[in-house]
Amino acid sequence: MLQDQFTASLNIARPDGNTVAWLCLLQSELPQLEAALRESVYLHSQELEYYKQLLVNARKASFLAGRWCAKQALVAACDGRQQARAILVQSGVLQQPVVREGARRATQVSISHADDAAAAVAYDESHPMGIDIERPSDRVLNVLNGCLTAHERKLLVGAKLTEDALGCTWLWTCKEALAKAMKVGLTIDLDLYESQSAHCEGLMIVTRFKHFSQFKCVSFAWRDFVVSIALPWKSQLSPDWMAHPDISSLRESQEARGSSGSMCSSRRAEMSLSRG
Amino acid sequence: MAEDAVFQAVKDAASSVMTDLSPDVLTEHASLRELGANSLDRAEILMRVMEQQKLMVPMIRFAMCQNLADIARTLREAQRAVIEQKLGEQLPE
Repeated sequence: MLQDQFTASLNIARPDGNTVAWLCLLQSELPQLEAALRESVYLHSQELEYYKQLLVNARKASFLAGRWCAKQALVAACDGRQQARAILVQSGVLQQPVVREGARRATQVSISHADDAAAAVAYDESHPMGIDIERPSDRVLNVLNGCLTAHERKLLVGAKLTEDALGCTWLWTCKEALAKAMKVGLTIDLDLYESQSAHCEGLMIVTRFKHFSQFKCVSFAWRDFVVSIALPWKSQLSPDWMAHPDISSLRESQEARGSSGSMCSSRRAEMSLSRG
Repeated sequence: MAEDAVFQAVKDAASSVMTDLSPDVLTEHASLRELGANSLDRAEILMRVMEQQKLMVPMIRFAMCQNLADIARTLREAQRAVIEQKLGEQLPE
């Protein structure tokens, strides 16, 4: 296990029977990822072949981090009875990850990268899921702001939130997590991923979608990242794995970076109240 | 020359978002994904290049772009459409 890693099995209750998904979050630089690869080859031979062709360090790091998370989640889905290198994850025609070999039958994975972090969730195909991780920053505020619909702006205002880096990042991660659950990525109009409503459940923010009422998104903080997981709306994610991520860390890291964090502070206050 | 300017603008935007990139990897055949850009980086690069080119192209138009050359081509097509709209006639191929 790499040092800055968080793994959890997600117990999900549903009216038609419970299911389990496996989550892995990682923050690690390329030298540590390469050292881990030397120590224990966790890439399938075909993945290793692809990795050796990569020229850019940023892509090397995101590939290794993403595959590390995916393998951790997929090995956990096999109760640890499979070697990571025996599992092959390839890219589909829309760049979606496809589990080809070695994993438990009918298990798929969703992968996301941001800066030096990555996230993956392994899930049963019968229960589609998607994950996104992003670091809020003013650098991307304009991009994210441009992606919000008029309704989402009202949603932020109505919830006493603001259109700052954190607020926009949260909504962006919801859209992207949904896009990944749909397996089409951001190849359709972003307006179609419009959020309809949001409320707090413990440490998580739960978002519903206007055009995809089959899904919801649960969002939480991990280190200074926002993580969102899309899943079917009737699926109830047990909060027992949520001890580690702490939403309050986001505001502090935002302030340390000099980014705006007013959404976080109001959201944290609401979350603190709901936790209490 | 106009084509070179658009492609250069794409490369400049990519360099400004992903500051660690060496200029020699920014080739026509390079994809933003293979350069290490995640979806947010890609969106920021496209926003920057559109701002620089004074264009507003729906993000969906870039969805199937495979490489930097495709992005530049999409921008040039948008430029052409703007000019044709202003002139009220189609430009020659």
